[in-house]
Amino acid sequence: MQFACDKTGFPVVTIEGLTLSLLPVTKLQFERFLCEPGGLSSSWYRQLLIMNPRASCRGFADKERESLFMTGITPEEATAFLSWLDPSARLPQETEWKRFARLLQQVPFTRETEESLFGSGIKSSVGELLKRLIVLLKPGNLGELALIRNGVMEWVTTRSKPGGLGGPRPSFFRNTFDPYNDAPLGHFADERCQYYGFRVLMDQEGR
Amino acid sequence: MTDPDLHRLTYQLELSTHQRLCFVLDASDLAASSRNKALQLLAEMQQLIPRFQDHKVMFLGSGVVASAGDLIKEGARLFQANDKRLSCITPVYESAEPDFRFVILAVSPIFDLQDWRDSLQLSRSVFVNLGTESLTGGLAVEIPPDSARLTDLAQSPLSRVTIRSAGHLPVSWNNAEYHLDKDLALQAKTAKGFSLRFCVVGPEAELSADCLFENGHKESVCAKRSPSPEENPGWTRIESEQDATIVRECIREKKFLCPYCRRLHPRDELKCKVPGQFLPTSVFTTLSGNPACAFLLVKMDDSGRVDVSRIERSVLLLGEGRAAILVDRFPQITVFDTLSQAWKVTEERFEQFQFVEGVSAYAICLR
Repeated sequence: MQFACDKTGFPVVTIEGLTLSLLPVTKLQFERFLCEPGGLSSSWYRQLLIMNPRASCRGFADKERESLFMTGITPEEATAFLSWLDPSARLPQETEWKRFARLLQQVPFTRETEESLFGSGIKSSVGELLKRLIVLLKPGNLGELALIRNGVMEWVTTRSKPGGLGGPRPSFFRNTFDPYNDAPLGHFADERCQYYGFRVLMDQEGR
Repeated sequence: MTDPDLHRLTYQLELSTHQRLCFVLDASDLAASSRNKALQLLAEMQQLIPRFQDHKVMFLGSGVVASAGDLIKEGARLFQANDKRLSCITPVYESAEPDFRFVILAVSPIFDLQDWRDSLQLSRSVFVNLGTESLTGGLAVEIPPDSARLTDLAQSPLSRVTIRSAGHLPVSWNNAEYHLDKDLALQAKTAKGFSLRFCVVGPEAELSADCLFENGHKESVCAKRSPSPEENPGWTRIESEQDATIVRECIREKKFLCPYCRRLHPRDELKCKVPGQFLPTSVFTTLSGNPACAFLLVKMDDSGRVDVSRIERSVLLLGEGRAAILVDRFPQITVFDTLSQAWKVTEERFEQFQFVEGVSAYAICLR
């Protein structure tokens, strides 16, 4: 297992040939994309924030956790961000997402794991966000820090159309989902939904 | 410094007597209708501020810095090049120089301003509201687009700079306009130049300077860490044999013969009441100097040769976590209190000819 950084300064983790972002994409990351001239507009972003308001990466409260992440986004909009982030970036497939989730669950979150994560060149604001998450989550394994559970619903690609995987906190989205075993939830695929964010997969062949 | 918490740290503080402004413009779609209003305001300021072209311009969502002169010449092109950037301040604050004063002209709330709550950058920002909604949600000062008020902000010169940190004692600095006050803060008032390099003793930390402008505006400026310069005490031989003899006797912890009253003085009695003189006179004829320095370091080698080093600043490090300071012409002892992690002035009397660790010399104060 190895940590590195994407161009926004957020960590990606490579484990058994899979490279994915450690966390679902945050608003902080997406804002970097939106700061490019001529792209999606401030008025578009403002509408999106009505669904899931923005939380500061510094000193956020536990109840604001989901507000860190970029949700309410469609798969097409997510893909525009991914193309900007890295030529090899794409949405994970259902099987890749589940495999990644299971692999992270098996990695104990030890002092060495933490040192390796913070030694990967992440930006200071990202470091603050991660430290705060660690304090709030007290993760026993890397999957807990990666918010495979208790995060947001995440877009994945399937054979037919994009669907959602994840197990958000009931306070964010009332559900009884099992992210490791459920089939992707598909009935929001063509709509904008406040619970849906995404995670980045870096395609090894495209890198 | 053997205490693990105490280090000798050097900082550089770059301060212009007048503020270096950075106008930050909003090219987002939400601000499209106010572009001309922003350009009009800047054109008015150009007439009021001398050397307007020396100030800087940035756009929300971008880290690129242009000159204010460019904006007046080709404002429309610059807006076009930054068209539809998100109204975010992070790229601006991360890229701009730390001593910029930001004047942010915007129409709608800055999305990521809360990430900069309590930051130095935010404390150095003024938000000019070109619309009707709050830009900052109460996080910072907002003013209406009034060119006269903005010009007053821009032209008000710096009137006082204070560097204060309870855990850090300034021990040397290269700008004579600064002095150490009784609260151990380094301060300069209405100086010709406020920039300085200074060295403190204390724990590793970021230090900042509190700046007060003539119009009453206050802001903080972060001091940058800098490599420590070589400390050279600048020893010179004591030319007067009479003074050298007194120093030798004192270093040997003996009484010395006063050249004025012809009686033996203990080594802490370095002044004598001379008939006809209103104030006691120094027993030394050449060491006091003109202008008088705060402290003197003296040392003697095996052959009896005596050298002196004049310390013009009002603080002298005596050893680990211990220093002598001159407050209102009186020498006092300050020590680092490990419990409170702060330097504290004690009631302890300054003892003449006390040994100074590190330089193997003795300290005296002739004030």
